[in-house]
Order: sequence, then structure tokens, then C-alpha cells
Amino acid sequence: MSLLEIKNLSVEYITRKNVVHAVNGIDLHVDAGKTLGLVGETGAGKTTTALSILGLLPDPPARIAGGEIYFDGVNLLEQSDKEMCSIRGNKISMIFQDPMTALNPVLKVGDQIAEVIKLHNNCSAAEATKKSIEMLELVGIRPERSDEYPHQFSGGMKQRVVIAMGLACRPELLIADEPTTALDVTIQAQVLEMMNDLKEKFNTAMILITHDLGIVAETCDDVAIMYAGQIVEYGSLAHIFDNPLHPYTKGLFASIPSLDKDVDRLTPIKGLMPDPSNLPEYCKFCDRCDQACAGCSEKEPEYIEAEPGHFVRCLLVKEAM
Amino acid sequence: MGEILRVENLKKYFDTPAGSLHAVDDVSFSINKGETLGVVGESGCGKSTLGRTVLKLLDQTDGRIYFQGRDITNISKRENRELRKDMQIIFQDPFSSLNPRFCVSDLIADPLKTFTRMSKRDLQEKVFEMMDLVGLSRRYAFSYPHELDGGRRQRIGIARALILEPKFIVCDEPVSALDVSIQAQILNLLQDLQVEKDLTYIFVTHDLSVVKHISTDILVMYIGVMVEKSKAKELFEHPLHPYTKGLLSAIPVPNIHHEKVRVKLTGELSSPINPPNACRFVKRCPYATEICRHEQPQYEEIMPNHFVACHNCRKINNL
Repeated sequence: MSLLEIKNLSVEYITRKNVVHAVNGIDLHVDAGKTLGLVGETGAGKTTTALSILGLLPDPPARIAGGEIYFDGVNLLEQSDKEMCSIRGNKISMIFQDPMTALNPVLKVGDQIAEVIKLHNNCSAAEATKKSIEMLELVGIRPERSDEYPHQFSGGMKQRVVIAMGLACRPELLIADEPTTALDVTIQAQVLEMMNDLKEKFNTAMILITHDLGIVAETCDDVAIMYAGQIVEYGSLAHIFDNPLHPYTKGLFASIPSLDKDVDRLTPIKGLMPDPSNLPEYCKFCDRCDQACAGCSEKEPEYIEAEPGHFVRCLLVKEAM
Repeated sequence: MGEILRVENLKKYFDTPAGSLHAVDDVSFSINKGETLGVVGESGCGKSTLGRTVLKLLDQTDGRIYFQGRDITNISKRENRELRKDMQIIFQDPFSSLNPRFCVSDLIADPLKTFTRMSKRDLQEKVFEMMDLVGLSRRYAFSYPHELDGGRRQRIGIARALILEPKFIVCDEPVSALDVSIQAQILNLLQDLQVEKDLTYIFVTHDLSVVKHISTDILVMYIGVMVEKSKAKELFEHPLHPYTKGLLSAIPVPNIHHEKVRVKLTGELSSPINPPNACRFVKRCPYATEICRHEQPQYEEIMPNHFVACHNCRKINNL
């Protein structure tokens, strides 16, 4: 059985004017110790998915319209607030995109890490402090810096603190929401390598949310491509990178300037993502798709298994089978 | 093709309470008409300051700038204003660089209103022309920036920069805030416009794959100094400076069969405030020797048109 299993999850944001369909019936699973890359553009619903796993959606305006999220066999959506509190930060924790705003500026970093440990483990303040220093060393920060405040750290160092906090209780699942987007490439390489090492050491499963396919190639086992609140393609690294099937996935690859090959002109995906408050009834990608045919604008394509373990939501793939 | 811009020993220091911050330290280069110079480096390396100093948006501390053969280093305010018609900038953040109270049409017409006297009708005609050029549908002419997405806003920024028909544009991270599919659209647009209008770009970015794609030459900066400069292709095929090697190998490549020789860079950028007389990269350099700690390396032409500032460059690369 998978560690995390999301079944047909839908999330809406209800605003005064309209209803924004952020996540529309997604199915996902993450196995213990594995890393799933969740890829998509701004507004695809990646972060909303992550927040609904943790029960952190702002309600209102957000509302879970349907679906189930099973973690270790328990449906997280049916848990009480108190039960969620004991899971959050303990069994499932999250690393946020922006380390500058994820830390409390008026608390010492050591105390911020110790707070998580004290909350979830029945231990004394001294033990928690000791453990927090161990965590800092683990992410490559000298122990004497635990008495410093976040503003005394650089961006890369702050993100290390956030990672130390996320891993402090040895969670079974870590959700990392664009953990390196705010960092420079050389620092990004250091942080990613460290995350990979720690993940293996603790055998933590991870959902890595990103828009950078390069990071996915280096860190993930499986990939889910999200578009307009749906998973349009799902498969192993080899499936997605060697044999992308969905036109959107192919378009993403063609949009990135390549370092290996010389391309004079990029082939961008035309147009923009549809407005999530006014999604079409048919294929959500149809209006931007070069290969769209008449059938594409009639009904929603099914989510089919094109080859074992490789799922795709596209009418053309289905017809070609 | 002739040279359009030449910069000699340009320095820009900022006074801070902690001392003098060397944002740009002794940078020299020249650009030919119709070409693109890519400036890359990590945050805080002085690449944006370089772009702005070249445009005279900031006053240099020392050094000379020649634009179309003319020394523009110490020009008067009035001349500086005239210069704006020929030199423009596209900013990074299309969310904060546009006045939220102006509609698209006003935003694009603004530079023209400042510099010319035109009838309302001519002005509107010109704005529509620009909107067509940058691929903004005319129906957005009276929308406000908050109603548009990032890609469209960046198109407004480009239209504003182009309406005065400049010859030279500094693009300061114009695609960093955009999603990949939109980023590709904007990069194509910038390339098309360059050919159509014979524009010269300085393209400042931290994204190495973007800079390789768009540049003729690439300049790599590290804490205010230039560490390497060469043709774009040459730089990616034969990086000579240890920092460039580290930088290139740190890029995650979207290819699972890509074999990587990783030059690991430990640590972070050191402070640009009162830097010692040493190689600025010494603390992170895996090849650092004694001389690197006492002397700043000279910038020299190691191979034809390939400049590097490193004491041990020949030794590291077996040249």
C-alpha cells in the first residue's frame, strides 16, 4: 500500500464573484521513501494540492469539494483539528518556497527548531535544544549559530534552517514547495544534494513541487505533470523524460532553452492557461494544443494508462492506442 | 558591424555604514551593433548595477563609457535626458515596474509624451502599432496592469522600452518572473525585435540556459569583477575559470541521461564590502593556491577572444 494516496480530490475557492476550480479530481500516490515531482505552471494547483494534504487550506474561501486523502490508511480529510495537529510537522511536514517569510524574525533559529521537537516529542526543553543543534549540524550549520536570528543568515542558510525544522521529527512524508526557487544555482545545487542525502538517510518520502524539469530529472523517482488543476500525465522519470505523451508535457520540454543543443528559436506553447474560474467542459489544454482535433473540444478526455505505470489524459493518445 | 558601446574600467562603489561596497569593480567590455552581451552571475554579483551604470541611471565612481563613439561618462542632465531616446531598459518585475493607475495605452504612450509633441490621435495610432509589434491584442489598450498576467505585463514593459525606437536596450532579467511556456514566447519576441529593429542588448540574468540561448558573447561576474568573457558557445564548451565551471555544472539539466562532471562549489559569496586584495573567488575555489590569497588576478586573453581572470587558469586547464 502507498504511504499517501489521493483519490479524486477537488478543491474550490469560493469568492464573492465566482468559484475558482483550483484542483479538479486528481489521483496521486506516493510510496514510502520515494520522491514524486509535481510539475506545473503558476496557477496549476500544485500548492493547493500540497496544502490540502496538510489541512492548511484557508477555509473560507477554500473548500474541499470532494475526494479522499489517505495517509497510512487514514483519511486525513476526516481527522479533527487536534488529530491533524499531531500529524502536521510530525509525520508530514512541509518546506515552504520562501525561507525569508517562513521563519519567525524575532525568535532564534535554534528555538524555532526546538519548538517543533517539544511539541511532538515528550521531552524536556534541554533535550529539545540539544536535538535542534544536532539538526542544524546535519544541514551544515555550525552549532554556535543556533543563537542567531534569521536575518543574520543568507538565503541558502535560511532554507537549510527550514529544512532542519521540516526534518526535525523524522517525518514519513516531506512536502517541499519550490524549495530552491529563491536560491542561486550554486546554492541550489548544494541544498538539493543535502536534501537528497537526508531523504535517503531517514528514508523519507517526498513530494517535490517545482516548475523546473531539470530539478525533477535530478531528484525525483516519479513525475506528475499538472495543468489547470488536473494531472495530465503521470509516470516514472523514464516515462516522462524519454517518452512524453501529452502535448503539454512535450510543449514544456520544447520551451526550455537547451544547454546541450543549439536551437535558434524556441517553440513556446501558444496562449495562456485557461481561467480557473471559467474552465472549459472539454480538454483544458485544447485551446493551446497544436494537435487538437474536433473530438478534443467535445468532451473531457479520460485519464488512461498508456503503458504500465504511465498515465495520460489525452484523446489523441487514446485514439493512437 | 561597428562597435556601439564601449566600457572602460568601470567602477561603481556604494557607501555603506560598514564601508565601501564594490558593486562593480573595474569592468571593461565593448558590444557591436546588433549583438547581445549576456551578463551572468549570482545575486549580489553586481550585474544589475552594471546594467544601470552603463545606462547612466547610476553615476559611476570611475571609468569611462562610450556610446556610438561619444564619451557619455560625464554628460549633463539635459544630454542624459536626450540619451534616453537611444538607450532603454526592460525591468525584471512586470508587477512592480508599471504604474497601477495607468491603463495599458497610457503606460506605453508615456515615454513618447515625455519626449515629443504629438496629437492625441497620432499618439494612439503609435501605441496601437507598438501593441501589434509586441503581440498585445488591441482590446487590452484600456485595461489596467492588475487585470493582465505576467507575460502580457512584460510585453507592456517591452513596448514602453521600444516606443522611442532606441538603439540599445538593457534587459534586466526580463523573463525571470515568468513561467517557462511564457518565457519562451518573450525570448522569441526579443529575438525577433532585435533582427527587425537592429537592436543591441545587454541581457542580465542568472539563468544560464536563457543566456546561452540569446547571447552572442557572455560575461561572467563574481562579486563585482569580471571573471570570464568569451563567445557564448565557447564559454559553454570550454569554460576556463573554476567559478564558471562550477556555475555551469550546478545547473540541473532536464535530461535523465545527462552525465555530469560536477565541479562542486562549497560556501557562498563573500562580502563585497571592502574586499581584500586577493582573488574574490578564493574562498570557494577548489584550486586555490598561495598567490590567490595575496593578489588579485589579471584579466587576460588566454585563448583568442576568451578572457579569464585566474592565476592558475593555464595549470587547471592544461594549456
